[in-house]
Amino acid sequence: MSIHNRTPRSSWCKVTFQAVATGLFCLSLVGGPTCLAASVPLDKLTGVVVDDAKAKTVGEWRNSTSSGNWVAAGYRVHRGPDASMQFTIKPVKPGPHHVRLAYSAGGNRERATPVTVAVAGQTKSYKIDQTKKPSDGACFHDLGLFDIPAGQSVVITVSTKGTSEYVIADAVQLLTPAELKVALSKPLPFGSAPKPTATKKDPPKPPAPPPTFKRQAAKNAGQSLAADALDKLVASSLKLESSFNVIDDEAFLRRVTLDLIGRQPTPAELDAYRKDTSNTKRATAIDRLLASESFGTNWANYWRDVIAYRQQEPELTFHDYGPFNKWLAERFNKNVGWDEVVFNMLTARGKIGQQPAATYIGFHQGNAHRLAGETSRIFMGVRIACAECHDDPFVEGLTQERFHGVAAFFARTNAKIAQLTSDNIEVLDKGKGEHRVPRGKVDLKPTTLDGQSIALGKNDLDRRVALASALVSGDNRQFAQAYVNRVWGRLIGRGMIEPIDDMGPGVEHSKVMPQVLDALADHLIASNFDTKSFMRLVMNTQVYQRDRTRATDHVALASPAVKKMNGDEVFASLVAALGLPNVTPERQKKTAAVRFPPPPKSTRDLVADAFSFDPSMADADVPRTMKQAMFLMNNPQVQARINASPGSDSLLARLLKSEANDGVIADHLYGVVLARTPSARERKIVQDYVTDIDQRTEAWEDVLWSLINSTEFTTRK
Amino acid sequence: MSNGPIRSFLNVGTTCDGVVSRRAFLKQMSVAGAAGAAMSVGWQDMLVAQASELRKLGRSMILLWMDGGPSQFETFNPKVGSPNQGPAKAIKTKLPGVHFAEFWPRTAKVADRMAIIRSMRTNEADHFRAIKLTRTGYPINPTLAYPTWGSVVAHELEEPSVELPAFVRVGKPRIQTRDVNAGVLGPRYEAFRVDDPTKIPDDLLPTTTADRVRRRLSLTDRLDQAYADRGAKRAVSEKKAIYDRTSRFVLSSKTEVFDLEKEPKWLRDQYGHTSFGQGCLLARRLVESGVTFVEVFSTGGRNDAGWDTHGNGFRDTPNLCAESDAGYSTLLLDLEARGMLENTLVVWMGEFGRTPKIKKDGGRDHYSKGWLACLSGAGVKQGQVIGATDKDGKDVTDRPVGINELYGSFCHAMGMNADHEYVVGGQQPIRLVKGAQVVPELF
Repeated sequence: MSIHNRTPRSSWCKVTFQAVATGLFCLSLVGGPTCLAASVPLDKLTGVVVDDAKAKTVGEWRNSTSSGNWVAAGYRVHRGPDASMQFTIKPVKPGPHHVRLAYSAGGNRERATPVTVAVAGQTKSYKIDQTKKPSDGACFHDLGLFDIPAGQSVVITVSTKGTSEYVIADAVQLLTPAELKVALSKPLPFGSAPKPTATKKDPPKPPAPPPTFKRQAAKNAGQSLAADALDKLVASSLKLESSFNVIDDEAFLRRVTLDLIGRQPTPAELDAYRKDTSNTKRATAIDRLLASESFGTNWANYWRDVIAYRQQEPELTFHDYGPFNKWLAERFNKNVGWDEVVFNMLTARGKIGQQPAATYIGFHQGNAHRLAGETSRIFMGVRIACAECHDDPFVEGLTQERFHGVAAFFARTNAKIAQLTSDNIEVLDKGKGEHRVPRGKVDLKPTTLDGQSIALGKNDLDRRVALASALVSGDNRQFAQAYVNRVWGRLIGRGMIEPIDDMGPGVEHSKVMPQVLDALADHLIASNFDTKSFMRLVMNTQVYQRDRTRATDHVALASPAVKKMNGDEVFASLVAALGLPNVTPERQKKTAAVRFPPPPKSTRDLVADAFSFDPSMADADVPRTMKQAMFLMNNPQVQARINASPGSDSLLARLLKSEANDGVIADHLYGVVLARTPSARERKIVQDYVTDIDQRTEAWEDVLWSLINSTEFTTRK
Repeated sequence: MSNGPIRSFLNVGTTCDGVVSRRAFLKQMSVAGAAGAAMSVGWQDMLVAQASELRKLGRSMILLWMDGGPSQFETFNPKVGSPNQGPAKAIKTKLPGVHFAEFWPRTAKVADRMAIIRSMRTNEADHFRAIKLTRTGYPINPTLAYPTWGSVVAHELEEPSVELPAFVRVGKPRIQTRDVNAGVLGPRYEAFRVDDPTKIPDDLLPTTTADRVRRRLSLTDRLDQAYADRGAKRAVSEKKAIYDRTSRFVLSSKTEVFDLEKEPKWLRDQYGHTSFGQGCLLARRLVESGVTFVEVFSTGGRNDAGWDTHGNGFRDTPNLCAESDAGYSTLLLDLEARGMLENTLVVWMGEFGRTPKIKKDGGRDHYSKGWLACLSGAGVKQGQVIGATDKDGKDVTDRPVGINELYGSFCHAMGMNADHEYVVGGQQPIRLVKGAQVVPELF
């Protein structure tokens, strides 16, 4: 068996979305891909090598051997922007050397890991994309050739500053150009033969190409809108006359950072923003955040929750949204139009692992009824599910037949459910069949809610393409309006129409600002469903930047409400505030006795379980739960990060050691926990408390605990 | 059937799903609201009033769940002399003429505290579908997630003055995806989960002293007040309500209920040192402390097949029966000795039974046409067998009982009006049990 470790054809076997320890490195072999995960012993490597065990670390680095290849006993992992690892390495002889950094790549890794190489008074900086394989294709990444003077060392620093994903650091190596040439010509010297962990007999079939999306110009193309025009429209719709307070800079930055990239600003970001004196600093901040990779992740998480919360998991399969999230995040970051994204979701075929867009159909198990109901609800803001069983007597014309007309578009959709791994769920064409009303005798023509129908006998793809094309068309205003209402709802804290997914027709609801809804839908259509443009527009308005501290009910419709943060946001905030590590227990193995082991729950999963909610619910209906309170009050992992007793390496312990001034400590804690400066009143509350308790460490632990358990920490103002 | 203390005036027409259209409901509400206004109470007050009336009965329920579907032949309906019986012998019970399988010596001695329904008949013989049906009372519905029964009971009968959660689950289902949760009732009525009854649940106990937690909470209150004054009044009061409830729970001396070390060794031995056995003991302690609904899972602890004994049935069934025999029988005696049985409905069941036909290695497949459910306590007439199957255990020959009757009977025993409708998100009234009937022999 020969292993070509330099030019693997297939890259990743399976990387799930939350640091689940299954990312196994795949190498191409004769007879099919095989996944390998193996250790390279120190003594088999040439040149000079310093392993992570000998590096100087700041912050908590967890050891792991979950995926890829590693040097010696494993590689180190950290998530969160507060850690670094420093390797100092000295060559045997001075002269030119290649500096190489070992890391195990993976889909959940940081795309811009800051790395510096310092030698002879010069420092060179890199941003390493650790989702990509290192340059030798297996273990080591070449940082370039450095001339090392006699007696000098090279200092290589891997930092997590400004990162949000997993950062890996494993080892560094110095090789002369000649040694490098030899090293690259041979396979990695594994300690023992790598064990294949999965072998497939047949190479996977190439997935069916997804149908291409062609945008049709809308018949009544509307106009795009500017922020001040939108403000005027809102003011005239609500007959607002007086002016309103604009939220202060710090609160604005927290609001916009949470809304765009799903976490609060770091103290460094806050500081840079404070220092920006230009009068376009808010617009600049919005643009900076829209350009961040986390923008896509944050909004992918949102739409994942919209879809997932009404799905029931099939028997014996654990839904893994990892590939879907990644796909969706990429689409949003590339600014693919919302119409195209939805078209892709509705028309995708094949295995979910290979065609993540097929997740929407696949996780609904290809069920025509569920797809009809959910597609209408999520993408058009129309609830028709009641008509599955009976004519809706309260919505004029919503007959059972109309529901099943929509369902008929999915009459031939089939999803083959796979056990355990949802990646293997496959969306296929049944090849035959028509749809009927239950116990009905007539085959129904696939017909949209507005009456466009196609002939019987069409294949699955033709049906779904017909539905998707009609749905996402600029002429179907409800599609644009549904998006507008939802995103407005998330940004302002309340949809223009509530419930957010119940916009009619035939439903009586209070249309608060119909002209605004229309104008925003026009803007969306005119911009070819450009979601970044839409958010930029809303966020640059006075409406979005308003302070509602003393808002009347009337004004409340036009200023962002205080709303609960979801699980992803709370976890990101805990990481920012406490450096909470994301600990993932080992995956339980599938055995004869335990055939269906559930995936392990990481710290992030625990937080998501407690704090996540169905985003289609109004904020007032999202329950606060005992589980949430118990987690923040008592969870040992959280408490360990609050603990500042001697010997603890928590942020607080370090702060108390280096800082004596209570005011500075209070400001610092408010900065990391709530991303703002405390008010005079809050400073006094804290100062009085600290003065009152004689034990200094205990007092500050109490303050930090109280900030973490404050309402503000888990809400967005 | 009797409809409980107050018949709900919310009884409007339901659809096939037990869901009243929201429009009809609101219309009905406005009529009721007008009537309510005359009495100067709103309809919500009326619902609250009704719930507190029900609570006065002080009934609790313990559901012993044989996860995977227990065999009738190897439990409480052996067919001696039939080729379908297999090697398990039958033994006499406290009830003259009634036999159990030999694996149940201790339960046989308390058969006079049980009402054994031998004629359960349903249409679902697939785990997932059957679990949905038998744990919610409603057939599976892909577009509506009916809540598990414990959530419904917690929603109806929760007693706010009790520091503990109203609904506690002990143990875990054998396969995580074959499960039912609070569904449309949402996280507020989700079970408080105790995966391992011999361990204190995660995040329950503070990592510092109660005094210090109170001190911290009062500091948090002051900081929250500052936030409330900056426009977050509603968010703060919502959060405070849940923190009040949570701190009442986690700082309560009642959290001792989870510490089984407080029980005498002999009693713990009696219950059996299995997750199910100790879970039954915990269930008793919880009910004693005011918890309304407890479910305890029995899975045998050896594999994730649990009671789903397709293969190696003759190997696994004795182990499963042994854990259940000890826990179940001790629970009934313990509750009785403490005078709690009369107010606690104890139900022993699984999602279905197993086929009369025996497979080569002693396994049996799924069977929904003649299975078992046993009820005790809460006014149930004990010491009787209801219904029967034929001599080979194939068909129900007497008094078939469906899920609507079983659930109707649960409601009756608990003092709940099965026709009562609960409202989700202000718009979807769902009836507790659709087409509820009571099994009259039970009461």
